[in-house]
Amino acid sequence: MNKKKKSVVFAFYIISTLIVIIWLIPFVIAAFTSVKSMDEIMASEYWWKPPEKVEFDNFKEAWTTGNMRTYFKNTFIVTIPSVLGALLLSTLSAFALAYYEFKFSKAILLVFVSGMLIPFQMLLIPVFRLSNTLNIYDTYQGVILFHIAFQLGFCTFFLRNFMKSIPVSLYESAKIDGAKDIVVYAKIALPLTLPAIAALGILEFTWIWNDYLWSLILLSSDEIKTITLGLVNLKGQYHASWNLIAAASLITAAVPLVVFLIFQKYFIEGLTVGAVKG
Amino acid sequence: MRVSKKRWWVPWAFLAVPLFMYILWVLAPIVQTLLMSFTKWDGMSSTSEFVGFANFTRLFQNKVFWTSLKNNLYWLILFVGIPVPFGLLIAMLFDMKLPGNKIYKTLFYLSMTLSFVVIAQIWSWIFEPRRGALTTFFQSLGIENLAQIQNGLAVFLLFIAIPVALGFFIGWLFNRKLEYRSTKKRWYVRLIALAVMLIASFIVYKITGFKVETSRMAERGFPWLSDPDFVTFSLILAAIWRQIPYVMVLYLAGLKNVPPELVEASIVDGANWGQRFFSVILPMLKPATIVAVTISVIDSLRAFDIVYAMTQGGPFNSSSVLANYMYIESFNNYRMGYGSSIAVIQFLITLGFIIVYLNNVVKTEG
Repeated sequence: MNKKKKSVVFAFYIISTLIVIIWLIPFVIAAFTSVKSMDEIMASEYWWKPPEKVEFDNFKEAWTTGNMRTYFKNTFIVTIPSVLGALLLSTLSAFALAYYEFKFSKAILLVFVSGMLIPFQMLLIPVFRLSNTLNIYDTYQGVILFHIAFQLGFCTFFLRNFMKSIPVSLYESAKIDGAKDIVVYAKIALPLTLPAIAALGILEFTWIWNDYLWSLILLSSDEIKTITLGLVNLKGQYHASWNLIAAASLITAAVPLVVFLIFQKYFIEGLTVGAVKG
Repeated sequence: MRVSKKRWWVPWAFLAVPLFMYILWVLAPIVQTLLMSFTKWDGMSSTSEFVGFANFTRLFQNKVFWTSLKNNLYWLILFVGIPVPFGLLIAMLFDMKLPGNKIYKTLFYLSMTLSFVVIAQIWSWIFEPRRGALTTFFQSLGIENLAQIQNGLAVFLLFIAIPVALGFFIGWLFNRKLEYRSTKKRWYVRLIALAVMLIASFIVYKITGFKVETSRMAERGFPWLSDPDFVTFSLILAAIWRQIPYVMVLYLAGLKNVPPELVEASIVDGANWGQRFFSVILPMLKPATIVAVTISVIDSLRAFDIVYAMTQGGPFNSSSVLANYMYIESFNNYRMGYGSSIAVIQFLITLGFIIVYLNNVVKTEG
């Protein structure tokens, strides 16, 4: 079986190349548009053609006058604490559900899992109301706290599955040495779970970076809006400047794309462990 | 580890903060929305009025609700029907461990990392009616307007895809009774069933003079996002661009669990390509399929970002889905009780699939 027929190999390369080219067309067209001048776009008969003259002014303009600079910074301010918070808290809950056997452990796990599957619309109004009551509407904390709380469902499920696969003997050896529970957590569970935490962190980072709905619900002032909201804003303001919007779209996409390209292994592992195991 | 009676509080100490946050921001809101769907509230006044099932009865009389529900059904069918089989096929393609397949996979995955808002922007150029890429593509095939595509798709589905599927199914039914016959004869049965179905559907097609009713707009050009009959399919197409790589990831993981010895043994036993796929590989992929289908269903019901960023449900609510309708009623029209009742309907639809997923979790966790 190791030697595949030549015709099969040939077909593989033809079909794969074709699929990948089709899949990349939207990216390529966006990249073309982002470096064209508006005059060139209006004059051309086809909007998907390669640019005649390459200009990077659109990126500069989107970054400064389009305010993408601010949105970009804001998104980091929201995303990083959200990811770290969700990871930290979910290692605690995952440890409790993986290490201990107690009456409600399975029920609590299912509650965490089902929360991650429900339609977001079930939460919109009460979460909006809650952030008003807590006086955190239209603040970074408001969005960050929500992201942490909501992502706990998936993170707990994910890390619990991973911690369950750690051999019990490793835990027990520490217990026999008389280690306290918190030491078992910090010295054994946490270091052994590190690869899973990394994979999860990469996934969560792109998810929270790409979030649109929750920023829409929980933020209103322009100075603290995240990048997806900013992009939609920009489209409203410069709706005829396709080149500018294309540049802004690529700026928005850049961070998750780079993160994915660097940490692809973790990203894919995260997706598969999270979904197929459960 | 078993917890001793004296130390029952230890797991709860670990759970305290996460569970508290989860209850506050996720669980309590679910209950609140359920309760709120029986009230009338404008989002600002301090009191809300109990109205019983009035929100729901009003909802069922509303045309936009039914349009949204119908569109959600399209999303659901196409979000499972297209990404799951294509994700599986492409996963099997990239699973052939030939040099270079890592690069192919990486490039194919890229669309999965994008935000739906970005996808909405990128695809609005592709959907540009006169000068966009999709229009150019169909024009180069000699197709002059959207109506022809709509008609072609309907004819393909009704008179080719469905008869072929039926033909295979009938052939399979007959073959079950012919267990003892040779493989060659089985193929004849299948071919005859297929031919009969196709000829029958061709006759029906000719007699009825079948034609889809299309808008006048669609007869003049390519209004991808402004033709009320077509806009939902355009949105779904853009979303599928992102979903197929995702389903493929799930299947690639599933394929890792298929032992190659098993596939090789079936080849030695003389199984052909189809038998190998349907009786060896596919059954081994059942867990991956369950996850891929339930996740696709749940994602299809969550479709909001792309609809809201691309069309806001327009033109004339024709591309509205429940998620979008709920947002607009609650946050643009300040009908929070009414909005909640839409969310509850969405929840009830998803519930069955959530239970399937949870059941799967319980089973694999033992």
